[in-house]
Amino acid sequence: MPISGLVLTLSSESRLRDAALRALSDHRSIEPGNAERNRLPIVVDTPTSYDDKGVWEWLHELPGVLFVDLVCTDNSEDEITPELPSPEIPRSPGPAPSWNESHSHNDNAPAGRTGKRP
Amino acid sequence: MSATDARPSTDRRAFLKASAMAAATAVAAGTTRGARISLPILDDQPDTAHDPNTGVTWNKGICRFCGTGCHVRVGVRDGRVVAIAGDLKAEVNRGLLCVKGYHVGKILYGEDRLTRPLLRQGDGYVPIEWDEAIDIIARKIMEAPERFGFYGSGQWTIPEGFAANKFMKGGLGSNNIDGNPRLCMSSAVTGFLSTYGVDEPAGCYDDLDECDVLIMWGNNPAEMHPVLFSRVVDRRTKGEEVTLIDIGTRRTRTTDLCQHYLEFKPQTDMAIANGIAHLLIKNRTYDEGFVSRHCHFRQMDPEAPDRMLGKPMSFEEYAAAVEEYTPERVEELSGVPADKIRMLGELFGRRDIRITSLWCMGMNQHTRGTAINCLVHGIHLLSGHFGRPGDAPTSLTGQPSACGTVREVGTLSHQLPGGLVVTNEEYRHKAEDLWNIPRGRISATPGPHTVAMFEQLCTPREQGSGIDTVWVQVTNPGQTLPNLHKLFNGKAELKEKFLIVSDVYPTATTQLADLILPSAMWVEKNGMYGNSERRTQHWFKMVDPPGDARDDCWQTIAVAHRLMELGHPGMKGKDGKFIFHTTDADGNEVPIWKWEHYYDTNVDERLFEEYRPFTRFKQKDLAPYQEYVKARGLRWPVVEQPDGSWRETRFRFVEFDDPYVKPGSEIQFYHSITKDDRAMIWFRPYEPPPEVPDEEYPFWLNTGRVIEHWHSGTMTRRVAELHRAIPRAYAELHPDDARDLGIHRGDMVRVESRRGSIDLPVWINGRGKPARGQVFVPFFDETKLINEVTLDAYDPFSRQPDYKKCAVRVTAAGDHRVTRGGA
Repeated sequence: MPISGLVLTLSSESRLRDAALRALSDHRSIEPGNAERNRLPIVVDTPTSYDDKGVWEWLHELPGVLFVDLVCTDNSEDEITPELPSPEIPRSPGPAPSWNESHSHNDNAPAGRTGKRP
Repeated sequence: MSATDARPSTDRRAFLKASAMAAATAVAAGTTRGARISLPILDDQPDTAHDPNTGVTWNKGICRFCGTGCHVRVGVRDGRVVAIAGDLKAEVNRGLLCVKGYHVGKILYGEDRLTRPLLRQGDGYVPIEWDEAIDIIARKIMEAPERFGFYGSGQWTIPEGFAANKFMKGGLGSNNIDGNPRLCMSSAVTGFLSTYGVDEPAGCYDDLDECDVLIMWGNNPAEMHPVLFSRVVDRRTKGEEVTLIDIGTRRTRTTDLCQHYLEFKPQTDMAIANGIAHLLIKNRTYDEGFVSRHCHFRQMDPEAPDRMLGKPMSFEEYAAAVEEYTPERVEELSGVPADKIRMLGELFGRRDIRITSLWCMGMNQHTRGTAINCLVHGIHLLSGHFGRPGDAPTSLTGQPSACGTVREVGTLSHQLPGGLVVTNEEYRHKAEDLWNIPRGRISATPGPHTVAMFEQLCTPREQGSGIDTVWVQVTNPGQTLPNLHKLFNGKAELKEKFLIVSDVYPTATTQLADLILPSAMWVEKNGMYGNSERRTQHWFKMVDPPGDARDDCWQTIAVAHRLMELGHPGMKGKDGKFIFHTTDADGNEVPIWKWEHYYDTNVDERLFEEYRPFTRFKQKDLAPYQEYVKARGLRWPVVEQPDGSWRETRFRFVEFDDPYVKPGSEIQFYHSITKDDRAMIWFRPYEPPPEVPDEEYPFWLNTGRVIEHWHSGTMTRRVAELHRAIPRAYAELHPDDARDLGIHRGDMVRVESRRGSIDLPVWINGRGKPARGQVFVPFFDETKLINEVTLDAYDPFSRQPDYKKCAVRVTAAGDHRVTRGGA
């Protein structure tokens, strides 16, 4: 269930800008903040990451929104279930190897602030 | 259980939302420069910070994707990347990210990560141990070191690239190393070298904040470098007068935000640039003082057409050469209306405005890439639009360290670190001395460039091929090379050839690999990148790689050590020690070729400090490693100050900022090819492309990228949100062409050239709108290899292929229709 912070650059044309602000206020997944001149911070809270991307696409198409910039995202409650690219490469040399060996523990711990193992 | 887990979920979500709103508000308010912002987790914190409310530890990192070099904060919990934020302290992106950067944490977690070395056996692969894999590679090299090639990329970190370069040039004494920046920016390199005598832009991203006019030459930054483009869009919506001009062959999201769109016929950008020069001279609006003080004129030498640096010409000869490029003649060649050419000429003729030019693949992937790069530099110099903040010709790069690793570390077949070249004896000696290897070990003969290396890999030995074994790291040539049937697929039939691929996922390249090595990626290892504005950046390892995946740099060092054990003399320096000999603080050797000891010391720091002295030869000075640990990147030359601090340089060659410019000289091109501190204004005539549409193949094919996917899609196609948004490649057609062909949106078409064909669904009036007679296909999709169709013709100096134009035909592919997201 991702939560994202975004900044929208709004049109300086008041009619388009006002319409965009109304649409944003009406969107159930979007919480608008206080606009700083032409830039509007918003938070997007969606049930799934697919919905999150859907909101981003919707924002891109919304008249009055000139640009969508992303600031932060938290995926810590998100189930990571990527769809894999379909293996249709014609020159495959044979049966696909068994890629998914179980991830064995690696004793190479995070390096920390010195760039070497603590 | 973390403190966060113990909190009610609603409280935690409310906290996360408050944090996200605070971060977005800070960015929107533009308070990211010098202001103190009260944010719970994202700012006013040390670079590494543990947040007890969420259980997340934050570290500074660099986005893994394009050459913009956005700084990110990476949130890790329980050994896993769980959150990403734009870095508010970073000048590059000021807290902003694009959709790829926003999802960058998920590239680590595709289900099919490679986790074991795999050796081809018959039609399949068997897992093997690392020791065996390293031994196989070393023995392959020992069989015939001169027939071994190493192929990397601008995704190598700086230390990885340095190690690979030293291994090849200083160890094996072979220049058979190249990288895929040959495919994306080598024409920019030859353009800078021809004009200034030294590579990389004089300006930086600050130019985007200062320019009055921004001209994009075949460039789509709204999708390819969106964080940079949003800086300019933001200025305009605040009421600043910034004129945006898109000179392109296809309408894009960038076009939608520009006041002017000048659509030109492929290849005729050269005519447009010459048309601007014509007008500057005809109207006497060129900057006579700037030109007389700081420039010479230059042209190709018909007696020596292979000589990139050509011969001098006088101003009068130059004026005569551009005389024919009248607005009307340019309109005839390019299709751009004469009044628009006049508009460009008038803008460049004004002294009261500042003009920045941006370009990327549109100008570089061009059979006259060196020429068009020189011409755009030339009109900036001729008009004096150079050297003030906002007045700059600036190329962008597509990979995170195309500049830092490839152009600066010199992992191309003719280069040495620091901008030195192998053909110069003095430079070879400098490198040999710094590497502590015997003089004469570095070969004076450049190795094969990318196209030549893979052409030889696909050519039988008995037909004269000089390459039998290629080791590919951090790139995917099986998808990104042009004319794949010729330059890659042919390897499948040649049993004497051996392909080693180090990567993180199965790719179009691993499909033909004989040995596959699983690599660590991004924050699974230490790293340093160098972005498009000469900024060297740093991060530390944050999480473990999966399974037995290991750092590419370790792989290189382990093979080098095994070669030494096998008796290869090049793996020892003059002192008889291993060329990657590393000691701890007490002077004891650290066996970094053994994985279990690799992180006993900071190998990156050791390699970077070995690299640093090279950077001073061409005034590309880098600061000590520890300075980058503290900084959000520093732009070279970085020079030590009397107080012991290190100062970066935003603008090169100008007295007000570049410490290497002599006082009183205003501007000094101190690496001038004429040794007199002057830059070159080149004349290069318009020349037609090598293949043009005809009756049989009547369409232009243009290839490129989409915002969701990065290059060959290896990483972004594993991010479910990005993959689902654009799941496969498509063909964009002009609506009138589609109507003439009886094709509708979603229909399948066959795009066919003299080299290959591919079936794709059609997208009409989508994000991009190609000109009539053109078809555009993105190259990210490994299931739809458009590079089986493209042309392998390349620029004669940069050896960079032209992916932007070749002749194809488009026909309906059967009668089946498909439904695709977004189409």
